Amino acid sequence: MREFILEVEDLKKYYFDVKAVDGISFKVLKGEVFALLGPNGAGKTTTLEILEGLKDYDSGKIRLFGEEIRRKIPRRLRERIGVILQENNFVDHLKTIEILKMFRSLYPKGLDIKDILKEISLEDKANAKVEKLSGGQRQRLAIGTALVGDPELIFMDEPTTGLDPQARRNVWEMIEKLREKGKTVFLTTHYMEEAEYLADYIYVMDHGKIIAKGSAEELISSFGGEKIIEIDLDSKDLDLSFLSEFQKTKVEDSKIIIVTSYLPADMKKALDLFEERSIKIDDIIVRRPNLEDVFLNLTGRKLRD
Amino acid sequence: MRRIISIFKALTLSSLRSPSVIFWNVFFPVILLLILASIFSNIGKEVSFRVNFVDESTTFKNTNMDFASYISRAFEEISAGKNAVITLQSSTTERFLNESLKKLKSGKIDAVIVIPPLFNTQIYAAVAQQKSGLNLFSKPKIEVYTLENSETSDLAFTVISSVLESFNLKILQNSAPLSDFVSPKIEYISKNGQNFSYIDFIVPGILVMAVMTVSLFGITDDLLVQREKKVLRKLFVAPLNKSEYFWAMILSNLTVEIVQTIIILVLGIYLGSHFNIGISVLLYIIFVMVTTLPIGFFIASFAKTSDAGNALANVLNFLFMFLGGLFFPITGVPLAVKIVAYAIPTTYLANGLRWAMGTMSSPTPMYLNILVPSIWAIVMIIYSAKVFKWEV
Repeated sequence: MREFILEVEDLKKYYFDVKAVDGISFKVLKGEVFALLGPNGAGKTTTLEILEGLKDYDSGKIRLFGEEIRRKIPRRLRERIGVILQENNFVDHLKTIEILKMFRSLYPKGLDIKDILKEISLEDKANAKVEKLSGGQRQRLAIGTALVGDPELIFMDEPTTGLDPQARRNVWEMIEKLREKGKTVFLTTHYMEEAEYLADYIYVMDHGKIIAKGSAEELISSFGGEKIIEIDLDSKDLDLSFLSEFQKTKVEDSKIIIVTSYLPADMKKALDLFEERSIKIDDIIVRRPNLEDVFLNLTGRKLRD
Repeated sequence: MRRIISIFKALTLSSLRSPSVIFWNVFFPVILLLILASIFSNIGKEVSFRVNFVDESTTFKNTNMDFASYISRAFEEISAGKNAVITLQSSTTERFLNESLKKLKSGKIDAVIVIPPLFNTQIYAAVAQQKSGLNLFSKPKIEVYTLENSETSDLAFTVISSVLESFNLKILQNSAPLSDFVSPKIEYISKNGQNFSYIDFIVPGILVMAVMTVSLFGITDDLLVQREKKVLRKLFVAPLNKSEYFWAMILSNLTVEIVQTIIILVLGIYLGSHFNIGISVLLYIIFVMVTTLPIGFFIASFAKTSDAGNALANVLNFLFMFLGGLFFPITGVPLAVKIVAYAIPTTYLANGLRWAMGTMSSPTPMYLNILVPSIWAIVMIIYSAKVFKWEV
């Protein structure tokens, strides 16, 4: 039987009348990459900060490494966790290698500084001051400081937000490597492609609640055999009320998304409807649904709304 | 302990590499010390004037009406002792007068005082005249020769005339018995001649300022700025406890303060300050460090943001610096200012340090120099312990 490294039961955190976290429960299997996917303000960061011991919670149960924790996380558990915050800053005027050494000294065991520098590809920046690093390099250093103690569980809060595509790829590769090493990664993200690419298991969170769960494959197949017709129009602000003839549609600016379970008929119907109204179609694609569509389907909103 | 040392190393390294920390905490005190020392180095330097005293008076000699001899005795008393303001040579001969004037012209002496032959008679007449209201005789005159365009000569004249002025007051306005007027004024003059050295005054002042600046701004930076930048948050999710960060921060600020202290003391010695370096000085410097750090905690607890913290640190720093009498003695200020001056800790810390360094007597009793800063520290610690939130 596989071991749960983190179990959360009915966790609640209210700010006056705002239900930031509204009774969520989940379990994280050892060695898995686990994603909490949701739009900004869904309560992902609050959840993570509670798990990191940065925030209090109102009620619920948290079991970390099989040990029930309350408010503060004892040091012996923190020694087994690596954390990458949403915003990672370091003491000024220190060199990359000095920061890694400082973090290394906080843990009783850990990795060799040289190995870590290699792993985060900052060997040539070892003696560079931290304020001279680029955004991607800083993020890699943050990952380095989280990994230097060789933790079993790694929390990452939006690890690729604000990074350029190349830097994002690098971070993804690092997370892949962690999975290969048997580490458990718990990350939050609002990029569906990130969750889809990285996560073994995804919890979709919105308004403090978990609204869906499963692997990316499972979540997508919850559509059954449905397909997505995506139509780009030339102009926007048109009267599109005729779309109500379809079961599930979503209009965003000049883009129309139609969820269909019977593609040929719906495709023909759509083309006919546009033809009748002489609405020009710029582009039309048929594709399988992705997590974005899952979220759209569940909430009627897009992830990045 | 391993963790404390590691964080301490990081914080100290960061401080010592920070241009602004080095400028404000090392260069600024050094520059200020050099500037103040060079501008005011003349204050209280052993100024001494060479004055020749020629008593030509011939009347009432060897009676109790010999005013000239009283004046002569007064100047002799001033010129007695090691740190005297005046080096005096006196004689009654005319040859001495001519020699003296020659010496004055060649700059070998700074002033010549000449009592004219009929001086005693004139005084006697003046006193009698004042009592009777008549105006028959010319006023008694003492001639003081000085050198034109000579600063020391001018200063000598000022000193001499202030001595003579006291005679004028006593004789012409009070007509008091002559025997008891001389001594009080002489006392006053000789007090001015005490061996006050500005460099001895300023070195402890600069030291208190430098240490206080680190305590105020260093703690604000380590707590408020690092909290705002989320550096603390990053550390506390790692296996570091808050108390460990706290002690590392204290050690780091103390280290910067020790570096400052060494630099300022060495510079002070180089600039000619003669102070004791003994256990009492070391203990009192540590006392200054320990009692100013809590003011930094107060700022970090009272201010919500690092901007507010910096502003408050600046205000307190200025207040403590100028009203604490660190650079200039607080004298002749309005009562309200004086009350503030005697309420703030730096006044006592500077007095205590000057006393401990053995360069100056403390205007405030030593027990207050320990007590007042301690009370400040304790109150600030209690306040901070109640109010400060790590809020990472």
